[in-house]
Amino acid sequence: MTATLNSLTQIDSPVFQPERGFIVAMARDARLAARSKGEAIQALAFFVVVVSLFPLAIGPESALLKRIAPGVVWVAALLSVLLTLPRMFANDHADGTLEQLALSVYPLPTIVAGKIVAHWLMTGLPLAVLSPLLGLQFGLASGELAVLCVSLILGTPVLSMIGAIGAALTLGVRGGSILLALLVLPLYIPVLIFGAGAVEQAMVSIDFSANLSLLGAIVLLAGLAVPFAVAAALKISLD
Amino acid sequence: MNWAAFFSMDARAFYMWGSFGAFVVAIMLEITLVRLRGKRAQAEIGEELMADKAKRPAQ
Amino acid sequence: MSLFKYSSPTAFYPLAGKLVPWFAALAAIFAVIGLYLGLFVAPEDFQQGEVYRIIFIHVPAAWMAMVIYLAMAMYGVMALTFNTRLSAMMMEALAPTGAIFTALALWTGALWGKPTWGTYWAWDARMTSTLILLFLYIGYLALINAIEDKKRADKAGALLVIVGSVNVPIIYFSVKWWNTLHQGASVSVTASPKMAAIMLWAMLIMAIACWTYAITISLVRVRAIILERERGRSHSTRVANTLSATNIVAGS
Repeated sequence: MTATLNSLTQIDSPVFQPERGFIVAMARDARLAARSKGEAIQALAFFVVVVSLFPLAIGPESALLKRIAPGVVWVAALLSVLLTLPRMFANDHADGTLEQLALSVYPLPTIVAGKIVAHWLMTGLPLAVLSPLLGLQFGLASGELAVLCVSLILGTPVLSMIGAIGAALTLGVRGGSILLALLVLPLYIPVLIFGAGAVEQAMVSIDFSANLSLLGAIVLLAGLAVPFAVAAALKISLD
Repeated sequence: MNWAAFFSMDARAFYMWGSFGAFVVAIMLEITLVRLRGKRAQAEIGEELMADKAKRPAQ
Repeated sequence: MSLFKYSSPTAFYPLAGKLVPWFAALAAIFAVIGLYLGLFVAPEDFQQGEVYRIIFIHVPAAWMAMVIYLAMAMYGVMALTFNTRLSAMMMEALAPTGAIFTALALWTGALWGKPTWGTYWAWDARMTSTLILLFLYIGYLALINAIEDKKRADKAGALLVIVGSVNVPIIYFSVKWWNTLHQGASVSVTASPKMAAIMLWAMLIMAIACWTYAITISLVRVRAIILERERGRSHSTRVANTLSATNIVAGS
């Protein structure tokens, strides 16, 4: 832990490359997450359980289940990502690492970007990879499963990014996790609409590429702006 | 002007006065609450100033 | 620039106090004229009958819901770039009024929708985005109330509203997109194709009334907020002098 932290606070290569902060932060978070695999697996298990509740609540009628499948999987993914958000900065905040990161030689936005990518690799990506299996339970055809998976791969990075802003703003605030949900969920709506919409359009054989392109555009635009917003939010919370 | 006809609004009085009524109630409630908030803030800071003056009488 | 003088809360406090009666009077006058035109002068609508008169409060409320959020975002930019405490206080003063107007827009919209469309609520693009706007107001209020440190609450709230305002057009676009995708809930919102001039006037005057009301109430609220923030700081004689000079404490 200290070793990786040192790599963020000291320049280890003869030529100073600010963008290395991204790699170092991502590697550090990924290593920490790998050490405690439990958290990523819990989020995944939560995702599966929530999706499985819907047939039990609605009934086993397959036409209806197929009809609601995109929405159910997407909402479950949203909630599952939401649950992991408080941990994004909380541990680093508790042991004082976050203050040191804010003072590190690397620009804070690059470090934040690294942390966001690590978060996505631990939560969003596994969800997306698992989603075809759940779609199968709802009777989606193979083409639709592929669209579901792709829409989640494109959409979940945005969930991690917007979530990072919320997590940074609510850092150390009492009742933070419900507050975080209140702040972040309304901002998730466009991603939900485009993501679930792509799958629904695939189900009725309409061209779904516009939805996926919009998701891609959101990922790119958010990727440019969000690290700076999160860095600003962290500075506000740490002051 | 026929007031009964005016208030009945084509027998849609519920929708009509439900809207205007809610509007008036909400605004009256807001005004009352904001006034109370201002009065309380004034009273509190007034007390504080008095206590402050009492602490430093000779100046 | 002399305007900057008023960016200090203690300097703004008396100015706001002087402005309040004027804006309150304007709001009252415009409300009386607007309601008179809307309820008595404007003719009955050919298709919708009397109940269309709800739009004289519904449309201004919906406008204010958006305008106030935009105003908050602008104050948010000021709060973060110039680091002015007063801008953040204005945000805090505007938010409850914005939330109330948003809720009223939804409520009056539902009561207008039932006799006109036959349903209280449709997942129509405008109604859905107004509902989401209400969520954004609630989120802001929840955030600033949860953070104890006022300085942090100010800045966190400002950042949240800026992020939210960037999202508002995206949300509106996405909801419209979603609505055209699912044709079921589409309803024609165009109240009536050619609105009589008198109806338009009544609506505009009601909008001005709501606007001046919002200014009045937020000035009164920001005065209360300034006092609340100055609590515990009154030992500083400068603040104490300014405050007692402006007759805050009756009899002192």
